[in-house]
Amino acid sequence: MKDVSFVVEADDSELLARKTSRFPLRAKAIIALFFTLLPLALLSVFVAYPWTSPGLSGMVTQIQTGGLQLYSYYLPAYLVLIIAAAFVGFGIGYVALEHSVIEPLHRLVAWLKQARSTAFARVPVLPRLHRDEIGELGRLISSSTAYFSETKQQNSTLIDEKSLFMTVAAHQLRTPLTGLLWGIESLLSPETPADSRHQIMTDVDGLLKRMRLIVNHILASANVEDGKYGYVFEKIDIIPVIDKLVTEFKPVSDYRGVAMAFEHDVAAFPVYADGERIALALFDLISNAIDYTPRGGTITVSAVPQGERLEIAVADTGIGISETEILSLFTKFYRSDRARHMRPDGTGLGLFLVKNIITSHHSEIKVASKEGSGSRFSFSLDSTKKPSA
Amino acid sequence: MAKVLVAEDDTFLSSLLIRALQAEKLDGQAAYDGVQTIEKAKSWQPDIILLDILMPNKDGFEVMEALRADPATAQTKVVVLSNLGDPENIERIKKFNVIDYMVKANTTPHEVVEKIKGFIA
Repeated sequence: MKDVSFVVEADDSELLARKTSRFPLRAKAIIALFFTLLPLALLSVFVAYPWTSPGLSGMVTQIQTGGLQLYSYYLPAYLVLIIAAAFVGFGIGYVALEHSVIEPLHRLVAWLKQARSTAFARVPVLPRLHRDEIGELGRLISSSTAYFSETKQQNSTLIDEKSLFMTVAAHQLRTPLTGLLWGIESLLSPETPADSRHQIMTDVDGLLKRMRLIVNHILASANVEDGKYGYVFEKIDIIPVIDKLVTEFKPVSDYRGVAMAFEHDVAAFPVYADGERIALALFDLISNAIDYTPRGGTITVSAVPQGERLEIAVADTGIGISETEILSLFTKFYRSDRARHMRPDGTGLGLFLVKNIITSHHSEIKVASKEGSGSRFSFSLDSTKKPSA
Repeated sequence: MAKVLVAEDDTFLSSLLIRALQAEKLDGQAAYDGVQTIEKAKSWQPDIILLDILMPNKDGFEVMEALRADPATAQTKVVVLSNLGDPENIERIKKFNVIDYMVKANTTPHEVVEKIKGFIA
């Protein structure tokens, strides 16, 4: 929503903390009432004192002495004066009321109607209001609409994200699910020759493992988002962990015609790490390297001590990542165009998880890449300081 | 024997489809990406193409654009077999004059072959 023109009170907290208005309505009302009654009051003083006219006391005296006729011509003049004074008082009172209450309320209502008519998607600029309760009311409504619009937008972004997550997750599962359904159908068919049954079962097994990986990725990502991805840091020798992974990947890399090696100068290097999670991160980095390296390429996994830290890297001679792609690389569901072209069914969750895992180890995932000539992902683990979970 | 080109990048799914086609005495051949699909459609002149949408190198939309632009394949029958099930993609690919759209996970090779037999009869 780019076209929203919210006028949020610059210092909302100051507005909220303020107990009273600077020029409250109550003070205004007292002053207005004072000026409303002033003409009548003045008139009564004028009438009551004898130095300007016989005055009331004078008139009473005249009535008592029977000389009323003499002064009776004053009466209509008195009536005119009283009515005039009442009118002046009424005028003052009305102008004061109009100026400080009615007119500001009208402006506020018109403004609120306009904002409401667009369901608060477009909130016009708040009209100028006095620094009294009505002004505060206006500014509070304005800041409240901004607050609710913002919350509403955050919620809808969250819902959009969750629904995208569901869609992508379901779609990721659909691909191997198809293979499972079709494979089982084929195994159940008596026409399927015995010699191809074993191959089908091997494929089905592979698909089940892929589904397990996808489900684990989805669960881990959901946990990462909810902040429930609890880490358990222990001092472990990481070299055998990497070695085991590389050995497990060997048949896959052989099948894809990619050479893979684990290079390390040290036989053992104990570091503080959550072994299972680091293995998951390395699993993703190595399977990416295999997926995006064409036949004939090489993958080098390395572990090099750097003082008290051990730098672990996965380098390949694959399709590489452009500078602009690197910026979005670790975003959930992000997949570069070339990655999508090469492997249309990736989850787009792997590197999102890798980044979370590495960052939780108080390390940084570094990427060095050149389009067309390969990528190198690296991070380091500390042997002395235990990361806080 | 009717010729069916199976455009599917997943080798396992492709092999199961071809096996099912052969069981029904249909000549099935595989193309594993979009570029191969376009080439084989021209050179082999299949009676019908079973087309996946998410494929490497060229996706199903790009394949259809190329096929329809070439007089040699402009009239070739195409049945889409994809796991993309959202209306937007279905509408988009149907504009290329495809006969049918099937969601892979909601069908089986056996059903696919039965449908194909109906389309080329």
